[in-house]
Amino acid sequence: MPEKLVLSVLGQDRPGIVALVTRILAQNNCNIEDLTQTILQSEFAAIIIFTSPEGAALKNLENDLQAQLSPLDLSIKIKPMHSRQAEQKTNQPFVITTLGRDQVGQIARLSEAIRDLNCNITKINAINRSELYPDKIVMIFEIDVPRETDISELKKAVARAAAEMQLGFSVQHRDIFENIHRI
Amino acid sequence: MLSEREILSTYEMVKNEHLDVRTVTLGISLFDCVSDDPGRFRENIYRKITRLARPLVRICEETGNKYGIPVVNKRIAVSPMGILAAPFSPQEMVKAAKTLDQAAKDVGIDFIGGFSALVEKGSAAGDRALISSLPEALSATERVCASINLASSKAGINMDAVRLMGETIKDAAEISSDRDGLACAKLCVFANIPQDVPFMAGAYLGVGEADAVINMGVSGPGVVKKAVDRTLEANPEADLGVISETIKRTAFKVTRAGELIGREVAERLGVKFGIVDLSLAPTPNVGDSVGEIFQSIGLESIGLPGSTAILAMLNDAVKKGGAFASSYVGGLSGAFIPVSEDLNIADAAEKGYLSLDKLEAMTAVCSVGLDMVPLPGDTPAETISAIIADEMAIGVINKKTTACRLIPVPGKKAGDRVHFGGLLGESTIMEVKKGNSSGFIRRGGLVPAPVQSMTN
Repeated sequence: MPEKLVLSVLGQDRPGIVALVTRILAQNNCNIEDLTQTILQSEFAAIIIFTSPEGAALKNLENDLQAQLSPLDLSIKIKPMHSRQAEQKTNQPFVITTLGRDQVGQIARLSEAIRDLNCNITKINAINRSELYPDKIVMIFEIDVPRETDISELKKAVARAAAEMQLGFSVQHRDIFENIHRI
Repeated sequence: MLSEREILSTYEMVKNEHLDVRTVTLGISLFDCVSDDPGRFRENIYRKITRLARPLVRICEETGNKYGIPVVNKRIAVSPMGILAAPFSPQEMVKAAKTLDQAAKDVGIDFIGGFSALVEKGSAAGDRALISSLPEALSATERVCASINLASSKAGINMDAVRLMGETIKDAAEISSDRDGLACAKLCVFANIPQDVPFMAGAYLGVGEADAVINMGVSGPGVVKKAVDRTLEANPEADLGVISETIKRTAFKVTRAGELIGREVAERLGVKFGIVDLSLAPTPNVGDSVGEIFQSIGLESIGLPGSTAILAMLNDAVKKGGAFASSYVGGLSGAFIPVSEDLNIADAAEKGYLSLDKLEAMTAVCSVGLDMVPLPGDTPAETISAIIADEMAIGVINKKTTACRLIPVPGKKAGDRVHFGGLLGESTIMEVKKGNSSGFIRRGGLVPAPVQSMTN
């Protein structure tokens, strides 16, 4: 089986980064399986999972990427992917929303509370100057909650953390958003 | 992937706009509890209600917690007692009401409905026993709610029952005079009562319903008002078509939230899911008012000319949004305009913007009727019957539900304040025109059902 690899690309955003990186992969006969890319303020970040043909020299690919991306001030990293055994999906998707004044340590405090209950953050988003709350910072944590975790315990833990930092908060099963807003 | 806008607008609806599930009402059929022995009958109904409803409060709370939307009230609606206890005397009816009250208390719910009779075409012995037990049954219990269907578009208006209910309401007020006639707040008379209303005081479980069923009442006048305000902030020149669209979309969202929670509660209880009733049901809190929506749309106060038109649009937009959101919309579904339960409507009554006559006109286009209207204590029983007859006529001719929950407050007159407490709120007593309607009411009989064609 061809080896799975992970490539991350990070640097200042500009048009053409995805085109360049994916062309280099194609020239090296690498097949992209999954890709995500985002822009945060002015910074570009991408994670690409791909397979390369058996016996292909990884070094060549890495050299090609370095040679063409370094001049653009983009940093890359390649590593082999060690996928864990597929876990049985028994988690429940929840969304934690917090709202308040921006302050140091906010995300650390909340994510520690989430970790302590064995919940895994699958997506996290901090929004400054949102349309609805222009003067506040809104944090949205999408998390996987193990079946055995008591939701009211999770709520209490988030409530404690939110109270310390004077944040408004809500903890809701993800289905409510899809049901309310989508047909 | 969820969008930031979806998440934040839901956050806003719950935190700042009073979105909640107003009631999860468990309907329980009690026909299999019937016995010719009153003691056995009471034991049977107590057992069945407590067996099915025991986990109701816990499950509602857990489900509300899961979705972050509070389930404010958990209630029970049972089969009409006038049929269940048909052979019994009024004294036995009072005892049955006390059993319902005890069952409600023991499972931790605040209201149980179904102390009811369906007499739109005529009354049987059980119906008459139930009606004559009402004043005592409602004052001796805390949580029991009664509803009497007096008219329907297929049967006409039972004017003998209308007359009887005028007297019964007076008696119920008198017997609870130390609490400003509070017994009347738990008594509702109807035309075209739906079988699946989850809202009190009208909730009962119809005879055509399943053994046990969950019906949901979702509210959200605050959510609608804020949505209208946001639309007008973004576009101050928005016309009524745009506002109606906003209301419709909002009603869709609120109904969806209710159905999601209702289905989960029903599944966990192991009973059938019935309907969602999206009714803008105000509470006596700022920001949770139907009257405030009228002001957002541009009327100085509810009750002024223009109110009936706005209410017609509001009621219709709510129904359209609800009907799109769920295939099982039932109950009343529309806008309530209860006087004492809505701070803003009570205020309009106090300032003289809203008269009883205008309120009656508005009930032709709202989802219920003259709701929580405090009247002077010396209003004659015949006048109360005549007000009821008018309201029934509006429902019968328009093929819609109408209802009256009137409270002739003992010892108080128009303009005095009355305080019912809690969700029932407070208000100024509304003026009733002096003059005599008794000749008409004493005639009795059945007003024939209206013709169903020639609809002008």
